[in-house]
Amino acid sequence: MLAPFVLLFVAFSIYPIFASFRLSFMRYNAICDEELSPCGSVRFGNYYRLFFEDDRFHKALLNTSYYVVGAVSLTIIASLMLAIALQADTKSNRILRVVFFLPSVTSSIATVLVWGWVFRGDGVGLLNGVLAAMGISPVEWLATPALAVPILVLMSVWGGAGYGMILFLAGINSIPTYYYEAAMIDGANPRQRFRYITLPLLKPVMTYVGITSIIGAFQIFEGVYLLFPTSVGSVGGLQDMALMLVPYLYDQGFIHFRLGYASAIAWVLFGIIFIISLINLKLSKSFEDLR
Amino acid sequence: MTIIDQEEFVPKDTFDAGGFSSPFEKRSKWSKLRRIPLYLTTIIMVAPYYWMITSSFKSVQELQKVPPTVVPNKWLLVNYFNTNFGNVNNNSTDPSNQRGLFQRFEEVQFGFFHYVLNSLFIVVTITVATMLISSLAAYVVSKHRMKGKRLIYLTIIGSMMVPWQVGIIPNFLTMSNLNWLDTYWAYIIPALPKAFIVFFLVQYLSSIPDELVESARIDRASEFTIWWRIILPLLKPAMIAMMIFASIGEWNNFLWPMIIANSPEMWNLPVALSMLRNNGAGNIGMQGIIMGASLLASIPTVLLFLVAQKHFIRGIALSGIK
Amino acid sequence: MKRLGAIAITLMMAVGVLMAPPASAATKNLVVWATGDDASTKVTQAAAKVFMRQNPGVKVTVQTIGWGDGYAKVLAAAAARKGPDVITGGLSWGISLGQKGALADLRPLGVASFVQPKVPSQIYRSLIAYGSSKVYAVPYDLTLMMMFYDKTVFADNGIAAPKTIAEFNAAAQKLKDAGIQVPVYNEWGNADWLGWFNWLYSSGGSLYDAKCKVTINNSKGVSALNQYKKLYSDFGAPKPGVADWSMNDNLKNKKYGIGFSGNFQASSLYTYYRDYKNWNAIPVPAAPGAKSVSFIGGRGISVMKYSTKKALAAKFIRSLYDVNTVTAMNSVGTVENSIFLSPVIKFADSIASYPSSVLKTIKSQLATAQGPPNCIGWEDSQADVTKEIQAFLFDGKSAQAALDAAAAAMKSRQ
Repeated sequence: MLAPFVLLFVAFSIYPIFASFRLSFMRYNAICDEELSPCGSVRFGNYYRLFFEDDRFHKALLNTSYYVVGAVSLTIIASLMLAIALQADTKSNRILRVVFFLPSVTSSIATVLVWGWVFRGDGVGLLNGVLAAMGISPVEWLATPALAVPILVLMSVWGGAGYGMILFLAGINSIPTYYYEAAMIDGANPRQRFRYITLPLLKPVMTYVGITSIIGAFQIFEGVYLLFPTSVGSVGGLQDMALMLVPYLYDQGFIHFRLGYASAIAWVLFGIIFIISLINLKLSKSFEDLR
Repeated sequence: MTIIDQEEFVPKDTFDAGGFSSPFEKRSKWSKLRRIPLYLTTIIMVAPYYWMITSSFKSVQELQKVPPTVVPNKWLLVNYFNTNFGNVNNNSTDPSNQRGLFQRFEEVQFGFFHYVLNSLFIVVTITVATMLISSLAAYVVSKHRMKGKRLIYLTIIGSMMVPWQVGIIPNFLTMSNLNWLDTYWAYIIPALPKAFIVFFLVQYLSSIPDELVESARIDRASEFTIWWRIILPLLKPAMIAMMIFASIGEWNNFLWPMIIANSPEMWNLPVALSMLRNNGAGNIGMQGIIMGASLLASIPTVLLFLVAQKHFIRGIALSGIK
Repeated sequence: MKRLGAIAITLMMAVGVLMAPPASAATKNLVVWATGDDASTKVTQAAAKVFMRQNPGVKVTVQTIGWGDGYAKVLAAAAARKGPDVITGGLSWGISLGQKGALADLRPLGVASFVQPKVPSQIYRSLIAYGSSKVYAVPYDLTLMMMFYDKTVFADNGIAAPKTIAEFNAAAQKLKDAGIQVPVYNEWGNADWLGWFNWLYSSGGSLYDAKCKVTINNSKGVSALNQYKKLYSDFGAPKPGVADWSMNDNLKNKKYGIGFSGNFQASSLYTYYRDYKNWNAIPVPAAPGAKSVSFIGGRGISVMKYSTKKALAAKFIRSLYDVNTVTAMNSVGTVENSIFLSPVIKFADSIASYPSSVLKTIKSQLATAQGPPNCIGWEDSQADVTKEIQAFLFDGKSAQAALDAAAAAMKSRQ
C-alpha cells in the first residue's frame, strides 16, 4: 500500500537529487554525440568555474542574498504586524484577512504581469502615471539596477505577508488566555504582554515561517523571468540586475542547455538552503534550551 | 462515523472563530486611529487587483492615457472579443483594432479556453491521484508496524528541505527518456509524490487513536477497507485542506510546464499567459488583453479559496502549529 | 467527499475526451516549429497551405516557439528525438545546433545547392560554420537594421538625412536642441551586441576577422563602442526595459527623433498608417571612408537530424524559394502586420505595402550588410558580450576593459 507513493517518491524526488549531483561533475547536453558534443566528467570543473570564474553566478548569488534577507525579514515583520492588527474577531477583520491572503492564492504569473505594468518604465505605467499626476517625471523602475531587488522584495512581501499572517494568527490564538489574564493581574502593559508572552510563545511559528519563507524566497523565478527579460537568449535584466539562482539555473540549463553546469548551480542552491535550515533549527533549539 | 470530535485537535479557526477577544482590544478612538495605516496598506493590497480588472475593460486608447484613468470611461469587451476585427472594410490601418483574447491562440481547439481546460484537467488529475496515494502512504506510516518505516518517514521529512529545482534537470531527462516530454504524463506523474502532504496526513493521523484501526483488524477488515472506510472519513478535513493546497499550487505551476511543454496544445494557463506577454511585450495595446487573461487565470483559485477558506486556512494553521 | 470525488472524476474524463488528439495519418504529417510570434507563424502557415495544396495528402503543422527559450526547446527535442521535423530559428542557431549534433546536413537533401545561388552570399555564409562545409541551415527570412525618421521633423529642424556618423551626431544634437524628448531610440537590439553591430562594422571594425580570430577589442571596436554610448548618454535613448511604446507611434508623434530598428518596423509603419507618407527609412550611418554596414538578422530553417521525413522536409524548404509561396506569405504578412522579407531579394518587389523608397534602402543596405559571425562559439557568447556592453554603457566600466572581457568570453567558447 505504501508502494505507489514510495516508488514515485524515489523516482521523482530522491533519485533526481543524486542524479543531479552526478551531473554536476559532468559536461552534459543530453545529445551526447560522440563526435560533435561529447559528454563526460569534468571533475570539479563546474564548481571551480562557478566559484572562481563565473561573474554572472556571483551576481546571482549576491542578488539572491539581498533578496532573501529583505523578503524574509520584511515578510515576517509584516505578517506579524498584520496578525496582531487583525487578531480581534470582528467582521471587518475577517474581510481584511481575506484581502491580505488573496495574493497567496492568485496565479503568480497573473500578479507578476500586473506588477509589470505597475512598474512600467514609460509614462503609461501605473506608478509613473501617479507620479506624472504629481508632476514628477517617469522613473525607469525596471531598468535601474538599484531598484531591481527592492521591487522584487516588495512583490514578495505583498504576496507572502497574508500567508505568514494566518500562521501567526493561529499561533496567537493557540496561546491560552489565562497567561494574559495572569499578566494583567500582575499589571503588565500591552507592550510587556506582547514582549514577554506573545513573542516567546510564537517562537516555533516564527521558526516555521522563517524556514518556509527562506526556502520559498530562494526559489524566486517568475518575477525575474517576466519582469526582467533581456534580449534573446538570457534572463536577468539589464546588466543582470535581477539575476537570481533559479533564473540562472534556468538560463544555463534550459536556455543554453548546459545541463551539467546547471546541475552544479542546483546543488549550490541545495547546499545553501540545507545549511540555512540547519542553522535555523539549531538556533531555535538552543533558544528553547536556554529557557 | 464521527467518533472523535475533530474540533478537539485543530486550533481555533482563524476566520470564523467566535468569542475570542484580543487582550489588546480596547475600543477607543486611539485604536481606531491606529488602524489608518492598516487601511492604507489594504489599498496597496487591492490596487493591483483593481488595476487588473479595470484595465481589461478599457480601450487601447484609454490604456495609453497619462495619468491613467481610475474608472474606465467606458466598460468595453474589446480586449476579450473584438467584434470589429477582421472586418474587411476596416482595412486594418488602425493598430488598436486587434484580436481580443478569445480570438487568439487560434492554432488550438477552443483558443484560450483550451488552456483553461488543460489546467483544469491537469490540476484535478494530480490532486485526486496524489491524495489517494498520499493517504495510503500516511495510513501505512502511521498505523502499521513495519521495518524501515521510520527511515521512510524521516526521508520524507528530510526531502521537504530540498528545493524541487535541485531535481529539475534529472526529472527533465527522465521525461525525455520516457518520451513523455510534451505530454500530460510529464505534468502529472512527477507531481504525484508530495512529501508535505504525507507528512501532514501522518501528523493528523497520529492524533487518531490506534484502537480504531485495531478493532477493525480484529473484525478481519482488509487493509484497503480500513483505509477506505475508517481512515479516509477521519482524514476528511485534512484531505480537503491538502486538496485545496495542492490544486492551487498546481494551477499556478509555471517553471516545470514551461520546460516540458513545447507545443501549444500542451501549455497550461500560466505558460499561455507568459506567451501572450512575450508576444506582446512592446505593444501597449496588448496590456488590456494580458490583464484580461490574468484576471481569468486568477478567478478559479480565488473562488476555490473563498468557497473553502475555512478548510484551507485550518490546514495552513495546522501545518504551522505542529 | 464521495460527491466531490465523483465530480472530479467526471470532470477528468470529460476533459480527457475533449483533449484527446484526433487520430491522424502520421506518415505524411510534417511538424514545423517557427520561432517568433503568432503573427510570423501565420505567415509560415501561409507557406504550409500552399505546400499542402501542391502536395495532396500531406499535412504541415506549424507551431510557434518563443525567441527566448526556442533554442533550448530544439535541443531538448533533439535529445528526446521527438518533436518537429523542421525548425526555424536565429541565424546562428544552425551552426550551434548543428555542432551539437541536433540537425541534419542539408547538402545530401538537395537543399543547399538549390538555395545558395538564390540568396545573398554574405547571408548564406553566416549560416555555415567557419572551416566547415556542412550546411545545417539555409536562410528563411531577413531582417535588416535601418534608420527611421519622420521627414517633417527633419525638415522643420533643417536636417538632411545623415550619411556619416558625424552627420548623425550633429542631427541628433539638433533634434535634442529642438526639444525632442527622445532624440534617438534603438528599438531593435537595444543596448545589445545587435544594436551596436552596425556602429562597429560601419566604423570598419568587426567581432571576428575572416579567420575567426576575435577582433572585438581592437581600437575600432573601442571607438565604435564609445560612439554607441552617445545614444544613451547624449541623445536620450531609453534603456532596455524602459520604453516599450511602439517606435512608429512615437516617431509620428514627434516624441522620438531617429529610430534604429529592423525592416519589420517599416512594414508595420506602413500597414498601420497607410496614408502617413512622412516617415522614411535610410541606411545606417558610417565612419568616414567606411561602408554603411547594417546588421542582417532573420531566421534560418533547418531539418532535425532524427526526422524520419527528411525528404518531405527538404521539399517543403525548397518551396519557400518559390515566388508563388512568397507572394502568399506576403499577403498574409500584410494583414498580420508582419511582412515577410524573403532572402530572395527580387521577391521583395512583390510586397505591395513597401513604398519604393524603403525598398530602395533595403536593396542598397543588403548589398553591404553583414549577418552574424559564423564562428564557433558565437551563439553561446552573445549574452556575455551584451553584459559587457551594458557594463560599459551604464555601469562605468571602461570601453577597453569591457571589450577585453567580451573577447575573453568569446575565445573561451571557441
